[in-house]
Amino acid sequence: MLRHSLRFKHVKFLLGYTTIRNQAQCAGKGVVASAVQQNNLPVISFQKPGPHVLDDELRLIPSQEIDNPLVVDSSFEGVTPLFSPSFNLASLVNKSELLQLMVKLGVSIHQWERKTDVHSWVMALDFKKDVQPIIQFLVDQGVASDSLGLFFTKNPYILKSSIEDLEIRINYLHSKKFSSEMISRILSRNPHWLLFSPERIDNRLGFVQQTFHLTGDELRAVATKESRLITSSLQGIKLMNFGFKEEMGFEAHQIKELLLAKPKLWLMNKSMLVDRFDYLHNTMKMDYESVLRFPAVLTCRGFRIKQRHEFLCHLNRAQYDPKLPRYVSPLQIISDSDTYFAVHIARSSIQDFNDFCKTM
Amino acid sequence: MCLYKPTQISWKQMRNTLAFNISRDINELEQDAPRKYVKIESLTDGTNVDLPAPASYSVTTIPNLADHELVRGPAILADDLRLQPGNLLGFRTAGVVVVGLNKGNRSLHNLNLSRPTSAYHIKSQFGLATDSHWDDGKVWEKTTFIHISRDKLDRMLASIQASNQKKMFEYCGVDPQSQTAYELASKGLLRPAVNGPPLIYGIKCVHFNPPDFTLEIHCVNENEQYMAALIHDLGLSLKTTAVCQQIRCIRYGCFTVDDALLRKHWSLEYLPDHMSHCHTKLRSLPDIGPQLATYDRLQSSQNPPTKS
Repeated sequence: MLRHSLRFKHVKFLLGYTTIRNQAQCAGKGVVASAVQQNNLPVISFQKPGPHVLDDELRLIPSQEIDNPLVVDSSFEGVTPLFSPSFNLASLVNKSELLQLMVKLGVSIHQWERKTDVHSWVMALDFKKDVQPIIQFLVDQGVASDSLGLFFTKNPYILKSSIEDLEIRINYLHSKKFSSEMISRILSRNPHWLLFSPERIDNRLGFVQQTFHLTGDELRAVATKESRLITSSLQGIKLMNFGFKEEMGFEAHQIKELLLAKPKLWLMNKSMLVDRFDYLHNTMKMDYESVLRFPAVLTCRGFRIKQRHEFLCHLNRAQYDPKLPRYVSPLQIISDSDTYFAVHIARSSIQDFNDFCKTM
Repeated sequence: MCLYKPTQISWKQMRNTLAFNISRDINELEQDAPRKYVKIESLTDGTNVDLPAPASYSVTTIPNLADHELVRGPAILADDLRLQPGNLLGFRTAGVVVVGLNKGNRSLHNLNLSRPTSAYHIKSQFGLATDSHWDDGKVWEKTTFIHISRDKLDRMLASIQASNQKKMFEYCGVDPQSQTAYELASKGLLRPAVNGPPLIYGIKCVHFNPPDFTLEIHCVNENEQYMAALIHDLGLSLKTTAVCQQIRCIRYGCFTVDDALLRKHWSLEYLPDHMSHCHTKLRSLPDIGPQLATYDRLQSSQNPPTKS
């Protein structure tokens, strides 16, 4: 709106035009319509203030006649950017069908702006040509339509990829004997997987297989269970192995057991994991076999285990040997709410547990 | 609000957890529907410029998607909340922390001006000296402690308390034996200024089971290093050595451990009731008035007169 009226006024000034234009005369030619548009968007069908409005009533200065952008052949539509500069995508949402569809799917446009540079290219996408085939492709591969929103929030770059590339990557997985259910689970849980070329994925799968001496089935099981492991940093996996072997003292076959049972451990923070294991092994006197039998114990936050263990010690109920009576299993320590734990496992009350926590 | 700070957590982490929890809970509450967006569209074909006047417009009101939660983002961010600590505990100190939220920071400021005392329980052990004065530091020496009796410990603590009280008067610039000192003391406990040195008002042993023992300290302007060093010096003066195992703040002003909220309760479910309880407690405090002597009142009257 501002641009149009500025230009109009500018032209008026140049041409010495002084009569106050009737609002109705300049209306409907794109001036009023654009006055209502919020951001001059996406005015592909440019509505120029009709040249006839000026022709009959004005005498143009000859040198300016050629430069006057309004006095040109009617077939020339004028040049304007598709979208004027905008502070955020929110101002474009009401005009853009693509963004409206994304919101309907459940994509968080806000997250796009915060974390990625999507705004620089997303408006140039054509829904029918670019986006719809990809949505169709993903749904065909087994990604649930409710989770498409989360998918695109986490990985908007897939909207830029070509269908051929995606198909090659899926074919690669099929060739490595991944079943359709496996593939749909991998894609649902790890939206970034499809950004990796088959060579990269092949490298990573090979690395994991060689490091842990996995068979084909085991590798497929690990990749399906925690596909983020394959797309995470390989250096991280090496570091974590070092942690397990040297710092925690697990043996190679035990590490493999842990990987097959809970591959998520390799995505965690190594120093925190080592501290937790240190507490479990040295303070709670939990041996390697117990940790291997209940690997979930390593994923529980340290302070929770400490609180519950100390409370049991306080009540003289910290008995972790399965052969003796009143045995408390590691799973019981980490699961359930504090209330359940306090009443059923510690045989006390939640009030006592809370008071005890305040003395820690 | 009064929170129970767990050990091994800095104020920054605590503040972030609290702010995140509150903003997450507020964002999960029911939100207003998106505002309306009035769309006025020309119904005429824009290319036909020979029509003299606009034929008709359609006016529709649709929900403004720019206001949709997915587009504009969360209603409240963690940074929108202003949280200030009343007393800053050290990294390894657990215990009561009084926190002010937004407007509550004003009452917190006033509370701080009245220089409330804090009470600590320090669990320590004889026989060890480390570099950090804590039991998990690098061990410098080990000593015997058989010769320490409850009696000796109590006498040492009493002398510490007495010397601190004498220091109190000295900081105010009066002779402890004088009439002025008596008058000042009778009006209420003397307090140093905000940035003054740590002062101990009371220290006693509440649990004695060598090598372990627990001290209760009532003090002002303290910090974690001071207390750890105090334990170390105490051990040295008893011809042995001592280290801290646990420092726990059990009281700050009128807020005790019973009022404090555990970490699992730092959410919108428990906070409003808790905050009104704290508010009631603050209101019920007696109004101390400006007669309370401050550290440099006699020296330079920089600090404003205290009031609760």
